[in-house]
Amino acid sequence: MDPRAKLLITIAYIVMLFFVDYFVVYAFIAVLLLVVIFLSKVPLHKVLRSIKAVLFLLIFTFILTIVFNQGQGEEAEIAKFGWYAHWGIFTVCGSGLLLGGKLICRLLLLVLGPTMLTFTTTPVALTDAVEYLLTPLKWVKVPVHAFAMIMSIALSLIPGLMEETTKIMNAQKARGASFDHGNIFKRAAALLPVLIPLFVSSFKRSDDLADAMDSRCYRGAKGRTKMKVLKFRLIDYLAMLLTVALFFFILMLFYNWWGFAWINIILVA
Amino acid sequence: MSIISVKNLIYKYNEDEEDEVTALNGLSFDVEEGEFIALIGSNGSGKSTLAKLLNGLKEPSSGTVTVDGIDTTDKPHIFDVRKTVGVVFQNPDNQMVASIIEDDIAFGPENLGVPPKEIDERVDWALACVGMSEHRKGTPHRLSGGQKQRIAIAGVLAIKPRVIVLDEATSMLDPRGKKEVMDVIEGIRERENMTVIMITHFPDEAARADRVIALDRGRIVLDENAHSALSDVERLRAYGLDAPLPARIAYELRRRGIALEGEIVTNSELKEAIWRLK
Amino acid sequence: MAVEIKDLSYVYNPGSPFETRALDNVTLNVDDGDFFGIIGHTGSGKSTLISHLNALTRVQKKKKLNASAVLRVCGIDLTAKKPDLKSVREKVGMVFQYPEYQLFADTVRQDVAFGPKNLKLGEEEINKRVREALALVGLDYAEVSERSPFDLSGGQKRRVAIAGVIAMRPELLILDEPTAGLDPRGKKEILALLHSIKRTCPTIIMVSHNMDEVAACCNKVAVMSGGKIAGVFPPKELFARRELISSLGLELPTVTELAFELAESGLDIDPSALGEEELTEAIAAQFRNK
Repeated sequence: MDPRAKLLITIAYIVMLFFVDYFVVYAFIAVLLLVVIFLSKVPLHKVLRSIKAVLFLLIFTFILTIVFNQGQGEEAEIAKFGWYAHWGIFTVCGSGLLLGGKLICRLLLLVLGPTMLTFTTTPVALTDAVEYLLTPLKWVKVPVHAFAMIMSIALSLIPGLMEETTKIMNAQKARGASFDHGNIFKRAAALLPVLIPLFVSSFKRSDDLADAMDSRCYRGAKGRTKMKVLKFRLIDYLAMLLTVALFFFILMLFYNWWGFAWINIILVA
Repeated sequence: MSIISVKNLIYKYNEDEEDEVTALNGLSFDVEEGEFIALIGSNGSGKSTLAKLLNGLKEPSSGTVTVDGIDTTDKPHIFDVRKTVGVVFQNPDNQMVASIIEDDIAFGPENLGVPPKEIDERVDWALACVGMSEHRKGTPHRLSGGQKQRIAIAGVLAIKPRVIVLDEATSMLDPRGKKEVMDVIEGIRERENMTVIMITHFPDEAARADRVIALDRGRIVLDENAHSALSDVERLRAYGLDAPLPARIAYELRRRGIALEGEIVTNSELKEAIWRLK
Repeated sequence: MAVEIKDLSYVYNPGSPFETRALDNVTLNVDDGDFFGIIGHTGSGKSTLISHLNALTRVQKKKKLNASAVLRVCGIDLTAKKPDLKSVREKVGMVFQYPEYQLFADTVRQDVAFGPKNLKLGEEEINKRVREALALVGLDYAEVSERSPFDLSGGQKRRVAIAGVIAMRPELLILDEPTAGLDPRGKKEILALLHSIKRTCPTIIMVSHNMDEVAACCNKVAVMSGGKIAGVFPPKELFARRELISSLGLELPTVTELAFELAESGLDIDPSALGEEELTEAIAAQFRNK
């Protein structure tokens, strides 16, 4: 698929999630996402691993939402769900649980969607897509190509920089430096022996890189071609059409257009 | 016409300032198409500065560098210079512009405005030249130093230069990586008849070239046939340079009165010279 | 004994598709006073092994892994749950590859003093050690001590970085490819330096993939391959095993390779026992006997 289509769909997907208010719809989107994962042939466990990184955040927000949400007040809650519990400033109630559940669904889907984008699209394809989609900004003299180039280079330099940081930290540790003692000021000062060499080597790196790029005839966007030409295919149009339809459906539910209240009734039931 | 012509080249760092340093002091030499030149000299002799002058990354303080008839200070034609002379640098980690190998190699031809289909073919060809075809869709940062440097060479080859300059391209590699890179260079020379200028401080690498140019403190002190230059231990030492081991041993043996014949640079030459005397 | 290692293993990315065994039941002893070489090419496990020696990499304990492992460095048990990191770092000096990339201070003096300062030594003692360390690496204190380390030449930077480690007066000094990236003259200078450092720092471990250097310096050499120790030999014994060396994808020292070729052609010399001068002498002797 074309990276521009994927990028647009992902953006639409993220916006869309903020308009969803029903578990059934979350489930529907989750099923769609599963289909996408299946079609992309990315192993499911790899996708699920991306959740691990945000798991703590998820649990944390979930608990906060539950204990600090007081629902519609004790009486209304009991009337609706039949129970209400509170200790001091903490309250657990039916509305809070519902809200927390929805939040979890929303966050999970929010993480998984873009994850699929990064799993199936190379950084260069993505920056190409960004560059293309930002083309209108060129008319107001924004150097879009330069931004895209910077992004692409930054992405390719990250692994090297991480490695470099570990190396320098190890070297200073071997000289008796410690990075986890003392108050915040001491710790910040202890980082100087890491940051300075890191800056020095980064400057050297960027000098070298600039020479290498010049040597390979880099002159900005002027006269530049691309090996991978971006091309919308039928599948891209179909996918985008489907996304628009889904988005429309969700907005319809959210704003209750044309009195489609009956759908609400079915969904809630 | 020579592919590269250097005339009275002077290059100064911090020109007209207090801490002015003359890195190159009046160099003149020509490079003919198809030559394999080793440029040797100890650290600080100005070798790497010269590499950057050969494709216009630096401009001479005085004198000229002409590439295929174009002066490297001729701004409108600088890309014709860089299209002709490709440079591979020392540090394999600092030459990658993209995080996918094929995208990195495509970078040069993309800059030149080559049509997409031809870029694709060039990437294929360049990867085949350095024996890395199976890594096309991979990322560079998991590769060994030697492999990374081969990718850097492929990135330069994709521009289809007529001259390739290797600026101490093996100095950060382990013995295996050095060998990989040297084999790739020889392969390219054989198949593509490319002109190669190899900057190195290893005498045994220089022995693979046809011609040796030695620099000492910014001046050319030797410019001749590689074989005779590298067999002359005394002269090399005078410029702070090392001769290959067989040449050193032959030199010591001769000093002890054993009159070995001929120029000796390689193991087998030493062996033959010894047996001829016995 | 300076280093005692028994059945030490280390696995990168355990349980993932990238799982690799960097160390595989390594057993190795380094005696006090050894100049110990470790050779093997990139990825043979050398770096993982030495980073265990000053506890930058901790002994992995998972399931059965390393259940009976021993790792004792300068008398400190590093398999313990909480080994005394401070005294490990004090006793074991580590010079990494391209150590000049760790320089950071405004002056050479301050940079070399960084290690001793971390040891919480008195100012006088620190100054003494800085002078001593700079002298050991062949730099003139008066000339360089107040200069910025970033203004020095490549070879000088490397020496300052080495001085920064020996100023901590380690009992065991570990060097990872100390001559990488230098020109032949710079390489020779650093190797000569190591011999004088050896006098103050009794035990040295040098990791290298350059056989010539190992031959010139070490009294024992461990050969690593695929995370295992393929053997520990005195250099001369190792170089006699031409097949072992080539089967591990390593190269003989250039002198030994030449000597082997000469011996094969019928010259009466013992190839494994020769340095450059000895080889010259041995060939000359062949002519004198006639």
